[in-house]
Amino acid sequence: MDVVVPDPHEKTAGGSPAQGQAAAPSSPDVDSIRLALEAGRISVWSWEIKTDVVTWMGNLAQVHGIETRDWSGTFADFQKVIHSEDQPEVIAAVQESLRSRKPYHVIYRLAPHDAQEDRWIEAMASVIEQKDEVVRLVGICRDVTDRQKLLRELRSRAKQQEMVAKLGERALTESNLQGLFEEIATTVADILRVEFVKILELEPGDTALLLRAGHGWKPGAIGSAHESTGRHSQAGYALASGGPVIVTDLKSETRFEIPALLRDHGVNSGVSVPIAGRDGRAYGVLGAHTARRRRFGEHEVSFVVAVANLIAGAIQRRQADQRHELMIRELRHRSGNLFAQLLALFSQTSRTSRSVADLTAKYEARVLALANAHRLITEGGWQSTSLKDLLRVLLAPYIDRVTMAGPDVFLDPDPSFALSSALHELTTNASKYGSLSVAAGKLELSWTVERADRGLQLALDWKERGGPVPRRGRRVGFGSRLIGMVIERQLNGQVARTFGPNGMEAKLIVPLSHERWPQRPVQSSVDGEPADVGEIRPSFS
Amino acid sequence: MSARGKVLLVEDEVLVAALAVDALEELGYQTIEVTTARAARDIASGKEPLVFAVVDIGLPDGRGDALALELRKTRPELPIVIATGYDGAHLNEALRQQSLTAVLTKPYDIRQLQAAIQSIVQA
Repeated sequence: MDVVVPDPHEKTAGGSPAQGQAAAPSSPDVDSIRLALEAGRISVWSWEIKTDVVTWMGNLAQVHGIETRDWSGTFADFQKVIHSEDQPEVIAAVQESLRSRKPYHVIYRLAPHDAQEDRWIEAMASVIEQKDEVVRLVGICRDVTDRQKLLRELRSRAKQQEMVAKLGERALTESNLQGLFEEIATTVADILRVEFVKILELEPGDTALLLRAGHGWKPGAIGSAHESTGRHSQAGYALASGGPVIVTDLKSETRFEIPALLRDHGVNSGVSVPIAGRDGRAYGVLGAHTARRRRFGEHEVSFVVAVANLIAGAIQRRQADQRHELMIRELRHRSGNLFAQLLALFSQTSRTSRSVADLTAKYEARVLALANAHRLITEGGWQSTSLKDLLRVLLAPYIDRVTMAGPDVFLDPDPSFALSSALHELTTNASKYGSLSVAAGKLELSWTVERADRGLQLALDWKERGGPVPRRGRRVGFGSRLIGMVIERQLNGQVARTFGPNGMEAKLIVPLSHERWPQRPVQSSVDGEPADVGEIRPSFS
Repeated sequence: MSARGKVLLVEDEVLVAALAVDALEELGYQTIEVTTARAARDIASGKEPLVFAVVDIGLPDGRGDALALELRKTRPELPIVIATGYDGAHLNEALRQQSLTAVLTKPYDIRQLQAAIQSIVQA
């Protein structure tokens, strides 16, 4: 094969080199040029238009993967090594240069070779004319794959950032979580150029993950496909590891088994990242997968992590909204109930009062007891109230004569209210007729929490000491009936009162909170639901 | 006086229940009082004839509207008054679409109770 070295004195379309430069240093010889081209990894090439012969100097054949024995040296032959998708652009650029006689400049990919990554070539040339006729293109070419990859990486990162910003904005305003998830899945597929994206949600019980939303999966998979949370599954492994799990070749994966969903879709490579939920618990997993064998780069993984964080933010915002809504409903219900209670209390108190003054005093005291319990419950965020705090508030005027012994027990709002009514009545009785009616009298309170047949229960002993000897057989007043009603009927507990020579004693047994009613159905009640809404999951509308 | 028959009252708040019993008795009904959904189901599955039921929405062992739907399974013609601190919007959709259901907002007085009863019970 001939190697043609372009004549530097030849006339080019860009104009003639200056004549008569005898003073200039002589040009490097061919060998020096060859060495210089090698050092720069540049080839010089020439295409004779009339004879259609392409020749070169340097590593062009090596760079282009040209086997010289198959090489006939025509432009058509050269065209074959160009990626079929880029051939039209190269041909158009050549034709344009031949027509306009302006320099030729093009960047093209080589035709794919086995599983090799794309290789990019940049070519530049001048148009050589003789007697107003184009006779040849003379130029250089070089491998610019690294530069192109960098450029693509930069473009892709800019696009990723733009998408994270856009989706972040949507996540802040979108109330349709399912729609947002689907949009996110499609965007991730587009940006990462993967066929499959999954958003898995941890199901109650944490044993399985449901394919909540996604992109590319077979019809019917979304909303029904599951992955196990065991460490043997990719998603389970990602949940357990707490960070991204990158798979380049699923078939040779040893850390976990291939989940059915990925196997059925011929997935080979992917990235899975946990999506954070409330209180350090996971919500689920975000995954991007492809059937191709692909090594996911650091920035691609960071992008998936950023999107997973964005999903976590959207979910947490939605959960906060739902909690807020629930609190408002809870408040409305409780206000309604409270007013009903106040009406009932007035009606009942008025029947057993001797005079308006008596009614006023009793009613005020009962409402105050309720108000105190209400304040404690509100301070506790409608979650739970400490029994000790409740007793301290109810017995505040006599607290220096009261001894308390027992573990700290926390009560749900409803039992707190009910118990405070009963304890108020006991206190009122003690202050009128019992140990708290005399300066030397004392009140001993002790309690335990024990496990009975029907579950945990609070056993509270109320012992009045140092007061007048209790009188028996008094008419049962509304206060006593109220104690019986709230402890036995409302709280499903027991109350026993004894009037010994040392003073009145009462034993209250109260089943504790969720175990108050055996065989409670799983379905939750909006009202009965305590303020702990930790398990709320966003609903998809 | 209890000439009008028996009413099932499902209310866990004893004071509110006491007031409701008074009002129902004044309106001529005899009351069977229970504080849980479970006890209400037991009564409904028995043979006691009931003119209607008054069910609180928030029971310690379940939602009142869910209970109402269950009661309808054993007694399809039973008129039910749901007492709630909310408006009716939060009630179970299936229940809201059934006739013979009235919503009573808490707190209520005897006149409001009477109006709710009259809207679903044939005089």
